[in-house]
Amino acid sequence: MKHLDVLADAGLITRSKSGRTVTVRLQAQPMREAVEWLRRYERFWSGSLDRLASYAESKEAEARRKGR
Amino acid sequence: MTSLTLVRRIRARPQIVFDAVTTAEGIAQWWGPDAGPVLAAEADPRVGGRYRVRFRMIDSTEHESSGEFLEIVRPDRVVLSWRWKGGVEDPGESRIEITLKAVPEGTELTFVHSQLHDEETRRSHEIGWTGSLGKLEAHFAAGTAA
Repeated sequence: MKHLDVLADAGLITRSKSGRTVTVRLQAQPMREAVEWLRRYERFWSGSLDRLASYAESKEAEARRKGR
Repeated sequence: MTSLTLVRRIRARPQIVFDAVTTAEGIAQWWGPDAGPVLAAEADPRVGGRYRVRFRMIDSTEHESSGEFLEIVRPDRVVLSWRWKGGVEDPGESRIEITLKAVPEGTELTFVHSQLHDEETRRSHEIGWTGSLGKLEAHFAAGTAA
């Protein structure tokens, strides 16, 4: 049940109890929000880091030409 | 807690990569998801110092993000807080951690962007409380009616 508590705290499941039966339902919305967040920032940072890499590599080439 | 990790190998020494990441001159060269230009970049790279970047995307929308340097150890590591200006889509504050490791061809950069746990906790608490207060209200309303 401890694992279920973690999922419940994260808002990923809801539980309801009827007599001795506990029904656990998956809540897709928080998962969807997390995936959207990841997708948005993955696009943002992949583009940025590609440009950072080319910029740093040009600065490295420049430093070497100057013999540093 | 949601977090994104990206790793890049860069053919440049860590000091050069570090300066590209932390100085306004460097940030102006690469920040933003596409080929659109950086319009303004400011950075005060010391613990507690702030940065601000405004950029235009190729779809001509303009965006601004800013935050604080939380940790800065040249040339190994920098930690920033991050927030969108007027961020409707993503109003919370998040954390960016960049670690640089010297490797034979130059630098291995590990980039981690994470949603702040506090923010998430606060949000889920808010939802929880709103739900509970709603129930309490309904309970008292029913009590009055009875």
